[in-house]
Amino acid sequence: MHCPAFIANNNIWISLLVGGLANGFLYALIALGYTLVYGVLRLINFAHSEVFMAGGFGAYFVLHAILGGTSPGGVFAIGYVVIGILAGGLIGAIVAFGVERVAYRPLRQRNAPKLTYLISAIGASLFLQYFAGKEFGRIPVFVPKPALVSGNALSVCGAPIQQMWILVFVVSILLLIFVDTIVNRTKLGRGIRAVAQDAETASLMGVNINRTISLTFIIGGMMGGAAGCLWGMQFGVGFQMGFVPGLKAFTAAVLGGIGNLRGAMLGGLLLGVAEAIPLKWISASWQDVVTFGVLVIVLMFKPTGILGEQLGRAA
Amino acid sequence: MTTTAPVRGPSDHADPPRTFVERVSTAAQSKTAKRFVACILTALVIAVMTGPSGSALAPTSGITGSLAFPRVWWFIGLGVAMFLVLTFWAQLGSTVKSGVARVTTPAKVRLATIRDRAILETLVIAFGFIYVTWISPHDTWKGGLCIQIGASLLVMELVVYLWGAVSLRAARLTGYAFIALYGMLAAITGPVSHYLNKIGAVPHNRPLGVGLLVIAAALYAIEALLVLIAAVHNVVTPKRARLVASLAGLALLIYGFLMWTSWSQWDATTPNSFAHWLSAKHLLVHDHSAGLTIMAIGALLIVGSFLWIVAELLGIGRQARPPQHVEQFGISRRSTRSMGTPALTIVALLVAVEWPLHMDPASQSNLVTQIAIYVLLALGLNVVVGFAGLLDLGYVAFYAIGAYTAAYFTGALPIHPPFVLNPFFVIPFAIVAAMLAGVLLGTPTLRLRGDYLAIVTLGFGEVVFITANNLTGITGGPSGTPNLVPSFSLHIVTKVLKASQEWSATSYMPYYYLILAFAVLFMIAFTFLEHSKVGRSWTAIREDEVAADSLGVNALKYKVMAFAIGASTAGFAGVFLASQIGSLYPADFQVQLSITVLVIVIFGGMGSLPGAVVGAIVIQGLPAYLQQHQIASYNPEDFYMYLGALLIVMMIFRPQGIIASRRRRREIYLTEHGVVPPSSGSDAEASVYDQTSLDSPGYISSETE
Repeated sequence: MHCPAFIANNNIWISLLVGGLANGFLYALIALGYTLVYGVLRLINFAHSEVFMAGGFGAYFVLHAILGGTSPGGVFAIGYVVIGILAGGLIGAIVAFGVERVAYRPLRQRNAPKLTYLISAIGASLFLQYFAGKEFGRIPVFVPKPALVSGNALSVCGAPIQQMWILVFVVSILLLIFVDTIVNRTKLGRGIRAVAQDAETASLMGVNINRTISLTFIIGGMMGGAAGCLWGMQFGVGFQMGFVPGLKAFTAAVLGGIGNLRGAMLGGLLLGVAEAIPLKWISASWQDVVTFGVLVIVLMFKPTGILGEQLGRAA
Repeated sequence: MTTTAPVRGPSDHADPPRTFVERVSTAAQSKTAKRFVACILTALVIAVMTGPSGSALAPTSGITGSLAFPRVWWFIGLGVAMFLVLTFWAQLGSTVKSGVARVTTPAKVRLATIRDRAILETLVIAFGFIYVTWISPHDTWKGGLCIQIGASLLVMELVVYLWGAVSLRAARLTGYAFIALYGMLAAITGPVSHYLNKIGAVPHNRPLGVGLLVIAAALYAIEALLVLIAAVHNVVTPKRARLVASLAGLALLIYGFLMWTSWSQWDATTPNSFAHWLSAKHLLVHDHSAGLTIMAIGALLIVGSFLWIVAELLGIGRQARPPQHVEQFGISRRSTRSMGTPALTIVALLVAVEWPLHMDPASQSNLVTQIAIYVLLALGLNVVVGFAGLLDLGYVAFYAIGAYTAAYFTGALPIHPPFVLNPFFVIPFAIVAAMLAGVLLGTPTLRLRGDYLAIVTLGFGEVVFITANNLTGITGGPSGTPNLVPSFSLHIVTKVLKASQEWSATSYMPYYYLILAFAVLFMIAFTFLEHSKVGRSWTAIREDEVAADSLGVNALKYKVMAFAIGASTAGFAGVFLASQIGSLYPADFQVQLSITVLVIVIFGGMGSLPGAVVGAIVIQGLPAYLQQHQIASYNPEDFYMYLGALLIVMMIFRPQGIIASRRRRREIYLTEHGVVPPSSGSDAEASVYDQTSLDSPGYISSETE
């Protein structure tokens, strides 16, 4: 492929942007969980970063049991990736459901003050994190992946594009379309949007609120768990893996407008790119500071985010 | 609300489920069955939590090890017990409550009289004597502490009584007799007083004992005067009785003045003086300090009797009001001040001063590094979370800022300050730095909704950690500060006063007392703050920000103020940490620390200052104790797992905390049950509260407010 000289000379930008975009898709997947729950309950689910972590561990255990440390080649080996993502999504959904049942529902039944929910959420997050640390060890491990997604796929103007990134693009886009369809096209989605707009009226219209809230957590948990699998293949799985991506995904949700489904997707992508660009000048250890700066700036100047807040209307 | 029961027609009620499967499924749908399953599951989770750890290669080993068969029976039993307690709480709770009330109510009524309290306190003293004499002759301080507590409370009763003018002569006489006895035992030489001195039950110098004797004699004289007044009660009206009492106070005032001024009379070396005569009779030692002691007692007498006179004169023409109990929103409140809080404060202070002296060095170290500094932190966070209702998850950032400011100004960092200071003088700089950070972070973010604040502060804590870790040229990076932060030290040498003290890291006790003094100061300041205009504004904002705003409370201003006060307290604590551990590492300031402090505040009770102290002792002290003594194979790495579980359990069962602030309790109650006008039947409200909550209303009678 022929490419202009000025691009070839600055080809580091291509790697940075495409890699950032891949991370951005993962943030978008995690941010869906925050934004769905926020839309329905008006509550930041602090434990969502641990749902993400649980998904990573779920994928690790299933794939480790199947593959046992080998790394199979061939196109059909991509099936193992699908198994890993399904396992991650399933575990994520179970944990999210459990968190809702244990940490939120008893409080909701009592009509407790808002601060109580936040504290209970922090408790759930802390508990899950250190429980996983106790049961599964405190040293990070990598989710096994087939040889097909281990190397570089192609090179654009001399800049390497990892196969993993392409996998992330494909899987994320499919999952995002899936969630978008559920929320906008199905009866369940209509229920979710109705509860988000006005829970009391929705219950009068025959929407089972508790069931809808549980299903919202499950959908968010599935996405978070799948993201955990993809994250674990690239950066490893450990009991504290959820904290920083969780913070970033929340920033993404706020950036796009919390409670807004497409806003979360857009916010994730924008954040992924925005935090990749400064890597040209600063070391990776300062990356989180950039994210936090974005969060504070957005909250100062446009607290409703780019696409606005309403899950019921805008999504 | 849990189960949306299917709408049944009348015919459905007629035929009950027939098949076995149908019956089982109906039973499984019931609330009781769900609760049973939940309890068993919780018990199994506890089993796994306390069991052995697993690893990434053998992920199930921890779980299977925890649920191995002889062990799991214990936890199934625990689950069944939890189920039984929860199920029968309504009956059990009310039975237990009424039973306890049957025992405690007469006791409370009895303790409401000063006589019975005095008797109780005398019993405490007696117990102290018995304890040191027979139970534990080698470890005498516990008995000595009992004696000191009983004696101090007794004297307090006396003072309150004298000011309160309640007629219970017997209690007074007990008190005087005790003081006389105490003074006599301290004053005389001989085996008994030697023994008392040895166990620390009496003041260590005889002049003080003599002073106590004099006080007791004076009090007996006053008592005799009052008896005289009572005897001629028919002719003397209460107003005149008060006048006479104030005259008695005046006499005491003059007496005290004489003691204070003519102290040479009390110097035993002055020939032909009263003291000389006393020392000739072996009642006073030949010591110049005797004169000083007497002078001090005289000064106290002046102050006390002056206050007495003022109180008596103010009391003339005023009717005494009986105390009233008001029940509202399930909370009992008293219209008059109770004795409980000051008495508990005195006991707590005496214990806090005396006990640590007798701990083993490891416990002393735990006390300073694990508890005392966390008490300071929790007091500050209590202002933010408890008073103003703002969830601050980056509290540790201000702690780090305070600590690194201290390191900078003491020359411990790679960059050099314009001047190097003693840690004492760094305190204002650290407070200002942390406060500035708080204002800078708070002003933009406190405009937003509360849950945004939580996540922004979480991010801020992470940013400060990353900064400390990465700016190796300024902070020293992960390997710590290159130089040591010096200890607190004080060297004042003048003609009048000579004081020299160093609070070094290796000797924990001086350090402990320094922190204790500051913690008490903070508690007093925050108590005043809570009841000031600022504190009331915080409460208004916390309960309903829109309403507060519409009433002209500048919400942002007060929120930033709370945030800044909390931040500066953390900065202050940071100086202590820096000068205590000497070398700072960014790993000391991770986000988990903020959450630990938050758990302390929530466990103790949001908005409750004693709660913050008790929370720090339990949350930080218990794990340190378990670790030190290797109890229950406790692994410190699991600390945060237990904290997380504790947070959830607290939020479900007791959101107001262990020592609940009365206001918080009322708020939670109102949010959960809706606002009810105070005039509508308060008894009915209380009974609703009784059924819906696990704890009894009015359980906390000596509230923390």
